[in-house]
Amino acid sequence: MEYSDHDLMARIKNGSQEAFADLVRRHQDSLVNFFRRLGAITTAEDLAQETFLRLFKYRKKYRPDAKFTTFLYTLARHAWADSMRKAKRGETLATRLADGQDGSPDAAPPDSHAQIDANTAMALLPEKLRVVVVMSIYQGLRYEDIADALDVPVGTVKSRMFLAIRRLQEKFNVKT
Amino acid sequence: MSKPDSERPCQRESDAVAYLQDELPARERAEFAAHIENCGACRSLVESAGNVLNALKQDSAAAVPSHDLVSDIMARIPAAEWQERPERILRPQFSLPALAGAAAVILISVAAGLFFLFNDTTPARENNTALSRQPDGTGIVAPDTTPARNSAIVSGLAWLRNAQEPDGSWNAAKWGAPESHTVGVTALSMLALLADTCGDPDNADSIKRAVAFLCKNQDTNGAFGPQCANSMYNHGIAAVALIKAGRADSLAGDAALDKACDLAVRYICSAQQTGGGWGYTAGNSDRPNTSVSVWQLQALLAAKDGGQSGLAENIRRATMWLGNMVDGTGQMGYSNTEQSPPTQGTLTAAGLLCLAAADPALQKNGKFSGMFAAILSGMSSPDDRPDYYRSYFITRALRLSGDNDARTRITAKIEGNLIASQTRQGPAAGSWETRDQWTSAGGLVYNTSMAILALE
Repeated sequence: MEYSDHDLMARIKNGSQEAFADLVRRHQDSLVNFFRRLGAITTAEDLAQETFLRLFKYRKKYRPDAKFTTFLYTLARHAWADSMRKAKRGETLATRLADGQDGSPDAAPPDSHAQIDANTAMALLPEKLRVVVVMSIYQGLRYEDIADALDVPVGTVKSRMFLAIRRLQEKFNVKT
Repeated sequence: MSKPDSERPCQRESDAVAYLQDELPARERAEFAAHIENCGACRSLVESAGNVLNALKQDSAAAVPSHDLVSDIMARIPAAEWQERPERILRPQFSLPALAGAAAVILISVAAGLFFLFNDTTPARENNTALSRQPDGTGIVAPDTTPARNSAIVSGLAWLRNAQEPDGSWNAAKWGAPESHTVGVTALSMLALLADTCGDPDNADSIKRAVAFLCKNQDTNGAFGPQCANSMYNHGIAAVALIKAGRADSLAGDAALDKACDLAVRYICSAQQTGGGWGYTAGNSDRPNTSVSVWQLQALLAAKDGGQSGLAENIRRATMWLGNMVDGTGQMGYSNTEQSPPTQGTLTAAGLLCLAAADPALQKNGKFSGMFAAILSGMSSPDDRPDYYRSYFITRALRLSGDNDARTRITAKIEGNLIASQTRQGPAAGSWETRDQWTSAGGLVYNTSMAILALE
């Protein structure tokens, strides 16, 4: 029998290390992928670990009526935001690409006519837009869940997603 | 809705992406679908945005962790954080509600102590001297006699022997751990049996069967056990156990065992990373860490001690790498000097043992005194929650410091806690059921083996 995320969280609250190990194994791939998509080239695993440590720390604040993935990605978003603020340890693709540029979201790739891959195009998005795209496209979260995780209205998610795709259209050489 | 001017964006364009992702409420979706029939700008936008979304989705190469993160994460959570309601692996002997789990542990411990005091059911060579309960301010009970420790060891070894499978293994899955760790826990059990100085003939038979199991589970490359995420743990512990078994009188000169040891050591050498350490799996794909590396280095040192030649360079590289993991305060890091898990000196103690064995002359080095200081500092206010792994390495490392008050005090506390927490009744009598932070990896066999090793 496979425990649900809710069941595992309930057991973790009661001190079950096995449940915590199960939960980590269940979600570690998607979390590492999440941070890699955001641009953490060398620190994705560290950030995933940090997220799980926060999950443990705040285990008693988790309410079963909340969606687990929302809770998890809220913590992941906070871990990411903190790492961006500190930004000393671990080089991100975004910062590497922005090196020497003004770092603004409108900064063009070196050759605006060259075809660039999705990761590179994503790295050129402002962080707020990039998070929404990653959560939606690669993590499969619904707008409502993203809104909860980011603590913004659903309408904001919708507009950020729209803006992101418009900007990617300009940066990402897609034949239309 | 009127058709927008080609020079001005349509006011509804921001719905385009949500429409494509099926994120609009049903009514809005229907309205937008009707809208794009008449709005060329939005229709074009839907098409181009669709291409972008498809292009992003095509880039589906998912990054995965280089290794299972569980051990790393567990190492960063202080054991005390888990202990509010400790779980027990086996069902309690009494039908206590789950919510009373913590209280049950205390009650059973007390009951076990009383049982131990008033029941003369132990082997004749044991002296059932009562435990002296002398709270020393930290709430930790210190033992007052060696016989109490001997009794705990004897009953622990008896439990281990009874838990052994007919094929010589200890089945990890049967006792609360992943099945892929069977080789590792079998090797730990062997080490506990090998460390018994009483020479019980039952132990010798059990060790022989365990040796046979490990040899059967060695592949042609010399690797033990399945090639799982933690395979080098399995391998390193098995190698140490087999090399030590080869020194036992009953197994001296066993050609099959000698060959298995030789192959095991060669595999360790081949799995050593360029920098000198080892990761969870063989080769350079995993980040090396001190926790895995100390077992490999122990095996190499034991093999060298047994007369195997050609290991000097591997040991030199490993020792150099391990030494570089010690930070300025004497603490041994995990993968670098900045990553010292809050495990109260476990890695430092394990590293110290290896470094001291590699070059006894290094014990005069200032780094060693720093490491001792770090261990003592970590144990200066120890909680009484179990950590069998830590207990083993700390007690061993402190022996290097000779007799002194700090060692006596810390060892007495550790032993006192272990003796007091051993299960004394029911089918699990002799084992250590109270969980520590590694029990999820090794189960009850790990608990019991490491507790015995810490006491021996």
